[in-house]
Amino acid sequence: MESIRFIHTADLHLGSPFVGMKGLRKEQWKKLKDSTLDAFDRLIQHALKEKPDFVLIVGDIYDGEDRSIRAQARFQQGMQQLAEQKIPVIISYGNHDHLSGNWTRFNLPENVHTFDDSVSQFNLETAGGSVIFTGFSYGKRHVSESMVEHYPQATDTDSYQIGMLHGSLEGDSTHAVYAPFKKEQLLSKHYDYWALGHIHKRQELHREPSIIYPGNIQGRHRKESGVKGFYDVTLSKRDTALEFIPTSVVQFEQVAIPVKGLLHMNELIDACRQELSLLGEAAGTAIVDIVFTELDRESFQLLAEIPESELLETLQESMDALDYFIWIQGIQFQQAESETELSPLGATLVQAIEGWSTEEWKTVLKDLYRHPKSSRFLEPLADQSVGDLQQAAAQKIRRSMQAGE
Amino acid sequence: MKIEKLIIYGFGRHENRTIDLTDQLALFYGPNEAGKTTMQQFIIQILFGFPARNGTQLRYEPKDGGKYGGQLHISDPQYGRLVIERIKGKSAGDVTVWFEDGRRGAEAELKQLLRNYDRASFEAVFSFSIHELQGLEGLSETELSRTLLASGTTGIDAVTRLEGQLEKEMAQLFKKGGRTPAMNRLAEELRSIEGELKEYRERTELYGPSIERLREIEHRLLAVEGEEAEIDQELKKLGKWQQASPLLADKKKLTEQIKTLELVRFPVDGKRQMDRLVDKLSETKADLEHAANQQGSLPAIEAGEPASILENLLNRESDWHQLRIQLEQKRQEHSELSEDCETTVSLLGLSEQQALAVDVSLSNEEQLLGKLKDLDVEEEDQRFRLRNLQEEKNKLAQTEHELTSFLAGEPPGKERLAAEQWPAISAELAEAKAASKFQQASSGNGSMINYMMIALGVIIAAYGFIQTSSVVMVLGATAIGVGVRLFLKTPKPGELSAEYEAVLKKYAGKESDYETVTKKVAEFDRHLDNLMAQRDAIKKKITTYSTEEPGYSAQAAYRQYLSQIGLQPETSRTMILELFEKIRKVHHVHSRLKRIEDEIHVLEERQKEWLEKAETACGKELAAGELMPALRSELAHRKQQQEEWLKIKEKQAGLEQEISRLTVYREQLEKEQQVLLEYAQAENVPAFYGVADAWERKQQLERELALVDGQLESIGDHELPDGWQLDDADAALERCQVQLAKLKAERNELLAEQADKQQLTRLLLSDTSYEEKQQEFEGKKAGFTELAQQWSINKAVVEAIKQTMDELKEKKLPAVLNNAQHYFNRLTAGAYKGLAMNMDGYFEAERQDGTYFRIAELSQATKEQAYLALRLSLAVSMKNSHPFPIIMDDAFVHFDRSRLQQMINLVTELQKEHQFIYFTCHEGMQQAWPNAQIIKVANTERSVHS
Repeated sequence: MESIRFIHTADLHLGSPFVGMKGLRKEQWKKLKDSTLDAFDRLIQHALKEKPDFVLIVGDIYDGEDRSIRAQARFQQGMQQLAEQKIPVIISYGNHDHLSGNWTRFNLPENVHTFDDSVSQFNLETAGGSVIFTGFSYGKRHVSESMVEHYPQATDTDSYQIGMLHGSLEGDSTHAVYAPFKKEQLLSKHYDYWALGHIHKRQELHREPSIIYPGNIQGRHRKESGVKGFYDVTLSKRDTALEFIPTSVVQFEQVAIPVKGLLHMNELIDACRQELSLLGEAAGTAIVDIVFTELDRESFQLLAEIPESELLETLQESMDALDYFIWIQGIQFQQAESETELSPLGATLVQAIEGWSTEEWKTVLKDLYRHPKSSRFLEPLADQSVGDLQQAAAQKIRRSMQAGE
Repeated sequence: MKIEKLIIYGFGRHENRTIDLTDQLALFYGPNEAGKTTMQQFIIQILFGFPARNGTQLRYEPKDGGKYGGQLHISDPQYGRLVIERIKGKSAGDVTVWFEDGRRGAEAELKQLLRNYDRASFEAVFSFSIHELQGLEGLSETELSRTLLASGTTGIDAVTRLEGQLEKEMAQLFKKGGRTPAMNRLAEELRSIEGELKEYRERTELYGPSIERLREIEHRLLAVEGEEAEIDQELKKLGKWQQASPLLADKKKLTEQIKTLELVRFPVDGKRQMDRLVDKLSETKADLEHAANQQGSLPAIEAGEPASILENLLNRESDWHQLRIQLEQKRQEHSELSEDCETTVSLLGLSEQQALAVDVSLSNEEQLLGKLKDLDVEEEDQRFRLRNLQEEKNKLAQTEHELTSFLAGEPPGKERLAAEQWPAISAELAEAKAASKFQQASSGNGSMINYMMIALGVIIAAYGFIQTSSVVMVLGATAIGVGVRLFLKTPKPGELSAEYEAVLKKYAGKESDYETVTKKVAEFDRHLDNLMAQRDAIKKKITTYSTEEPGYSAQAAYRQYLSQIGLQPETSRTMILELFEKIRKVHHVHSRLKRIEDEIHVLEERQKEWLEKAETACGKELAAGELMPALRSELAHRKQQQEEWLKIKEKQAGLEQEISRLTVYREQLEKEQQVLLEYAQAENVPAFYGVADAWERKQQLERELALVDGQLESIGDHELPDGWQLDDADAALERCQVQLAKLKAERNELLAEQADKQQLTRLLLSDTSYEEKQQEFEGKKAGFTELAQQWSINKAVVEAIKQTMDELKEKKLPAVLNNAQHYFNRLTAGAYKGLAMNMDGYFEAERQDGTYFRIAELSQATKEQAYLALRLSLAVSMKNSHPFPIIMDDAFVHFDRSRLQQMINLVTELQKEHQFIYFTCHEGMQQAWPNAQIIKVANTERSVHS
């Protein structure tokens, strides 16, 4: 039996906005706005060039009801292009583009097979042999039961068995929990390849058989950092070759900039420019969080003297001159513990804050989080965010107590 | 920490002073104005800095410009012995700190040394005066707590400030009920963007239905097109028919009309020909009439007589002129002779007849001569007598003249009267003279006038007599009469003796004068009488000569003879001979005249003959003088007349010819007209024109018919459903049009909708505004999140501060209060047993009996003691963290002896652990304090122990 070649992608989130970015000017935004679509174009171009046996899209093509007609048209156009090259596309819809959404659906060409809301199988004959796809589309937004139970075990060893599943590994709470599964459950189906979706971070849960999260094709906020893309998979009964094809047009990164010994602002700006220039050369357009590391007394004073927002603005403006568009969206300080500098009172304060549980935090911040108009635009307080807050507050105290008298 | 030495370089009034503080308690004493406060300020300002130059606090810079600042020598439990120096420099002064180990420091080190304490905190706890003891009642728990806490830990101020700042920031970020804070604003914006996004989404949802609708529209549009085409076809058919139907009606009408016009023929161009003929005929007629009129109006001129006679006469013009000259000559001669003769005759004084009658024969002449001789003699005689008479007459005239001149010399009347009266008067006078010697009266003047009157009358009468003039005589007589009367009337003088007196008076002495006058008058009268006589004699002689009658016999004979011969008898004899001769000449001339007259007569006859001839020739009367010109003009006239006549004759001939030509032409025309009339079968010209009109109409109708036929042809197929009327077609047409309009409207509507939908779908396909909006939303949301985080951090910090504060308050405040209570109890000698906070957060004092008093309710001294108790308790509690000396400015002045003693006891107790510096102006304090180092501020000498 020959091998088959296919493209595995998921979580396109076409036309969805960047999250957590502010202060972008309109013309800067224009450089970024089409990034998901452009990433998708790269995928299509790759497919058209490589002519794989088929393309798998495991859910979340669009970002729910936020989808724009433009994005849908673009997707339809891409499918049409593949249709022209007779490249089949198998789609299972995810939680973001579930079937019960009353949004407009474009008529997709003949080469596209979409699963309905119950687990079913689809057979495709390819040059490399027949392939049986098992999968389902989200019939509604929330599918919290474990759908993998409905997947039949592979029996026919002559065909390639590929499972398509949009869901999260049990215990992974970085994304909302949908159609949870355990690795063992998947392995127990004896499929040749598990094409997963939903988690935006690229992951290989298992090898032989491969259980793969390809991640999304374009990061949309600071947490979706790094290079993004899809997998070009060559699958045979013997082994699986995964080739990662980057597609992201804009890259989210965290850049550490050591500031030890920097006394003046222009030195700081130069240091940033240098680092970001390197990043630009490597990744092209990027959105970065700068982490100032190795703070010493001088550099700490330098940074403490100006408000963070002002510093951010200054740096953003200073990066305009770079060859690549690099947007600094945030600044962090990585500070060595310098408790000696902190007064006992300060230490007491920090201790007090660190001693708070999440519940206590909730009480402290209740004014805001109970406010009807405001709280709905806020992420719910969770351990993660509480930790961040704790850190930031401690830092603030430290800065204040030192910078002050 | 203990201040061991003060070295003042220059501060306010103090200069170059060194003060050693040896004991735990230093008492600075000095009267007012000595500089105690300056000293206190020196300590504080060296520690915490000079106040800002433009600040409210005094800087104590030396007025004379000397060195500013000084040193404090300090021993500190933690840092050891050291020196703080602050001198003039920047606003707060330049600080140097010398440590024991030789290190040097500046502000930072000083700050450490002062445990991050600032002036305000220091003054709040460690330095107080009597004034600051006031107002404790206003101190709230919070403030007190702050004060207490402030004394507890370093950095508390920073924390407090941080808290305040964070609170402020938070207020700017978010307020529960606010609208303006950034987050509230952002939240609003987010909401509105959310709304917009919803709208966008709703619009997006239109895409599917729009596409569906577009498809439907396309279908419907096709259908509509088909329907329209069908109706169009129907309409076309109807239209054709509708177009044709009036034409058909026209055609029918035209054919009927043509039928009624039965004309078969009409000359080609007949009407125009007839027009021409009629025109020409009338023209010809007019011409004829005109010619006839002209002929009629030609003047009837005779041919005129022949002018041959006249010409003959004119040819003999010279003869005529000769005749005329001859006649003229004869007449001239005749008139000359006549004149001659007349002259002679007039000379003769005879008429011609008379002259011719005189016989002037020679014999008569002889006789006449004889007679003349006789006559001469007689005449001589006559002349002599006449001469004598003349002489006499002359004499008379002379006499008369003499008389007149004499009369002129007559004496005046008065004299004459006097003369006349004088005799009487003289008598009277004498009488008077006699009667009265002295009375003399005499008057004669009145009578004198009377006399003169009479005399005058006489003279006049005489004169009248002489002159034989009765009038004069009458006058004279009258004068005489008057004179007489006057004379009678005159009263007699001297009637009275008075009269005598008057006379005497009047005439006395004038007797001689009167005598002379009387003589003179007499003389005159005599001479006059002489002259009168002379004159009368002459007159007599004249009369004699005049009456003598001479004899004239010769003259009579002569005269007789003259009459005899036919002459005037009166003819003078001198003239007669001459006359005789003249008469003879008259006779001769007369005969000659007679002859010339005959000749004239002959000539005149001839002239008359000419004239008659001419007159007959001219036919009018002619003057002899103007004969020839008249003849000539007549001849010319005749000739002209002749010419004119010829001309008219010619004209008339022309006219006649024209008339005959025109007549012929008219006949020709009439003939042609007749031909036309016959052809058109018309009786006369008007009928012909009627026929012409009818013919034309027929032609017209036929043309129209052809046109209609042509149009019908061009319309083509115009068949119609049977039995259709025109109205039916209209109705059908209308129906179709309504239907079409409806379809059109529908199509337009569809097209509009299509365009609309197409635009919408196209827009939706290409529109990035939704994404942009989304991005904006995300951006804003990120901003919001960030602000929320900031707020949360701030909130956390604030909360932490609060919690810490609360903790401190709960732990530390009770301890301080306890201590303060203890001190207060001691200070009041047990009068008050407690100091506590009430529910409202204010201090209250508990009396021994358990009654609570608000601080304000306490006496002044007790109040101050409560305050002092708190202060001291605070200072004591801070002994380890802030081991500063306690500086007091006359804080105990209100205390009575026992309370003061209690106070001193307490201080004495405390001064083991704390340095006290006390400033006072009360001398008593020196004694009250047993073991204090007393420093006299006013003195420059070194302090001494009391």
